[in-house]
Amino acid sequence: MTLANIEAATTQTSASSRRALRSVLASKTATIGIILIALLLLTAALAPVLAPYDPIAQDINNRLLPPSDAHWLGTDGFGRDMLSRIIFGTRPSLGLLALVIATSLPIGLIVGISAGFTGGWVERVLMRFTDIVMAFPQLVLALAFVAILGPGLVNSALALTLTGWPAYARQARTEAAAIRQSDFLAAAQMGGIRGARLLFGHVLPLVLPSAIIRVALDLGGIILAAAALGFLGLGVQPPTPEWGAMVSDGTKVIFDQWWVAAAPGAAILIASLAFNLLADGLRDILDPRRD
Amino acid sequence: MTDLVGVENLTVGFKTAEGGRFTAVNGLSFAMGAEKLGIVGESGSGKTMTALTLAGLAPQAAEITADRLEVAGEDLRRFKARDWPKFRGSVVGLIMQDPRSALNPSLIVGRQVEEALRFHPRFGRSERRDRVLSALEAVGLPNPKTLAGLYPHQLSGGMGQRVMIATALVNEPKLLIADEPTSALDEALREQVLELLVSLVESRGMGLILISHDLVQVARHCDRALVMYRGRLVDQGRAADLPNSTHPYTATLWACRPSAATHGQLLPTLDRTVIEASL
Amino acid sequence: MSSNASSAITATRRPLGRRVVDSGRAFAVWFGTFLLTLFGLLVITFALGLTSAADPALHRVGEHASEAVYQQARHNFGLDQPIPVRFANYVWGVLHGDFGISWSSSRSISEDLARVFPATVELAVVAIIFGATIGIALGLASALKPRGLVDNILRLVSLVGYSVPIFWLGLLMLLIFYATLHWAVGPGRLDDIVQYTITWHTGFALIDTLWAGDWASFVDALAHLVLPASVLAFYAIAGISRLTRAALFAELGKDYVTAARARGATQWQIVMGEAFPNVAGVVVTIVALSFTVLLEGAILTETVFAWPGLGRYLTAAIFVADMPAILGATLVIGASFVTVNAIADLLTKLIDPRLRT
Repeated sequence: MTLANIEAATTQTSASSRRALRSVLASKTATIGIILIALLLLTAALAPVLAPYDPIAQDINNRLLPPSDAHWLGTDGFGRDMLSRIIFGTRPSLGLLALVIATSLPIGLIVGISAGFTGGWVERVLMRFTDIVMAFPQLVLALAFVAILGPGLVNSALALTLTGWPAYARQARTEAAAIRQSDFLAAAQMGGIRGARLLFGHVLPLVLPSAIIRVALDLGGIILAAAALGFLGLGVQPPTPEWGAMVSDGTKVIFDQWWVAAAPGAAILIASLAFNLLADGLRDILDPRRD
Repeated sequence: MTDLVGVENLTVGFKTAEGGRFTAVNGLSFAMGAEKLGIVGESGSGKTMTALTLAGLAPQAAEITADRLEVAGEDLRRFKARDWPKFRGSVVGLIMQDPRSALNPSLIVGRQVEEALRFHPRFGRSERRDRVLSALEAVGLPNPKTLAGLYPHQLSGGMGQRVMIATALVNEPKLLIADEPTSALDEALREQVLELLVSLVESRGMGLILISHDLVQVARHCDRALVMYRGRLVDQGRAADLPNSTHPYTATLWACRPSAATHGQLLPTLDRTVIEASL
Repeated sequence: MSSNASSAITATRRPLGRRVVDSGRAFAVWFGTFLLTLFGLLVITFALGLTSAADPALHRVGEHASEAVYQQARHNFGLDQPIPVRFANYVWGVLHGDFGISWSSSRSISEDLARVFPATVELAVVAIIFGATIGIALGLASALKPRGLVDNILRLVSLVGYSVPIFWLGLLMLLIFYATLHWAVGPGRLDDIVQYTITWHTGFALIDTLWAGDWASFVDALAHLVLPASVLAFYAIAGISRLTRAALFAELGKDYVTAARARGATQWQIVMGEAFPNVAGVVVTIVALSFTVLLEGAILTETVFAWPGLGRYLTAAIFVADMPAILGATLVIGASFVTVNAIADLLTKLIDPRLRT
């Protein structure tokens, strides 16, 4: 869906991920990213405290005001305070992000671990299916999906999950296949541990760290995809403040009251950048060819 | 007589990730003329780093100090980044270990042999072509014209290494550095390739530095030998005298070489305390 | 010795016959995967149509029609058939270019798509030409001086490029270059006058205006392309430059680069003459993959720039819940995406130097 995904797909995350996690904080870009992400989370949590106004309270007498002391980022077409709306806008963006990950990561892990651990024709069928889904255009299918199921947070998340899981499945398969050959697993099997307990008690913990890193590389892209759905009117519905939808509102007045579109777009950029900074740091650490 | 290579108190070090320092070459001094000098030692002894330093190819992170570092009268310590390309390929040539990785997979053989000539423009196109073909012929390759059009993956290992030799010799450098030139080859090919290398060097009056862990090879083909251990020069002398060295490290290395005669016996192991004490 | 060496040449070359069979098999696998993926796409669009709450028959006859009329409409649409039969009918229709009738305009969707598709392709092609040229140049420049100025700027540009919402970037560009500076023309594909005088042959404005020898219209078409294509190109530059850089850096650490340095190659000669030929195949793949990304990015860009392409057609259809149009547009964009992906995959296999004998 984004170029970041292509790059993420070419970045090998491997067994060295534990060591990598420790050295994340040594990377300057990753540290800046983590600080920004922490600020975003804090903003989302404390939105009612931080926001100077009610984000959905309309005030027809104060429509489209330019930035001022009273309204730092001006007001929108309904006279609502832009700053308050942007502060509350962290919630649907981060919420959608959490939902997408909470669904696509488990699906990817289940498919990948089953394929890699079972081998044989199960693996071939599952991985061919994964490759096929991976070849689909994520945003277009998400659009069609939401258009048909109806807009909203949950449907948006489902739509992005539908095409988002294959990357995690591929990675989990590679690792599970390597673990299948390992001695410690043979030992566990000899100890009578089998089936689901073997897969989820012994294989999953080993696959999880690099899967989480793989997810981290995608977060910025998911933020953008969610904003795009919002921009097209398919995300969280009004009057709930959502950044993409706010940019869309501002489109009508872009040449006269440019700040109405500019401010929420900048918020999307900053949120996506925060996650991409983290990803950039991670990629540097994971790249064995790093100079 | 001026030396072809003059090195005094050469030290090459690296900062390690843990904040310490690793010294790859430690206070090395030697000089050589147009002769064949072998540098032997185990892996990690600093022999390859010494060779790379003489060609300016040590990693960027290397910290290099020396009281003297000269090749063919050029003071390498004063070299700026742009001086190296003129020097490499014309004054010094390098043969690397494995032709499979040291030849560019995307370029035909003829182009790679021609490079040293193209990078130091002295000759026109047809003159360069003639020189490429005669270089390929000189290293004993059949049908140079056909061969020049092949890609490296179409060559066998022995042919690849002959091509490597041709790439290094075509511009007739004064000094040839060969870093384990035969270790990637089959036993049967090693002697052939090394004999070829030595005869080419001798007929052109060049100096040769042969980096090797194989004492027998050095004893047989070189004039002099330096023995390195952990970045230091521990022993030196006539190459032919290597079997009779009284230095404990050299003597053990010599005794360690596996052969048909020692088949079935335990090889002697290195008593490192003795060597450390002798440093 | 000489006979020995010449036999070594032939020994490493596989017999021609076997190579043809091998590559034939590889091609068959590739083509099979491609068809399977297209089939999967059909399954998904069909399933989306089934899941939809909207009922084509009800839409046709209206809510006040009698039960008999409604059932007749269901029968006419084939909705009373079992699902596998309906799927077969759907695939049969698509294969014959029948995507149904638009609910909003009552026009044939395949005709609509044939009209809007070239506009999107034209936009994406111009964008990928911009993007690939600048992206590859930036990647090469940063490899010429690792950790140098260009390299650091590239890092910043690609980070922002990955993070910027493209619809917002498009708006800002319109605001700055059209509304404020007046350097660029406004939204749309052509001025109204040109719009109604142009004779369409290929559907590509640049080609058709040249075809007619209408220089002024050609300039108009180009002027309208510059801004949306630049925005889309920026989107591609981030990925292309960065992946080109990464591929080059991986090569720079290899032995053959050290060997070429030892022959006296300068950094320029190393990057251009030694490393680039080895990454050319990867770069082609990167550009092809970026093209798929541009096809998707075009949906958002077209909305902002009022570009009458497939993306705007899709978003307009979504806005009025025109189900057959949504599914048709999704299928066409999806199929283009899948096709370009498959071509990228094939190129990667073809460019492998070990197969190039």
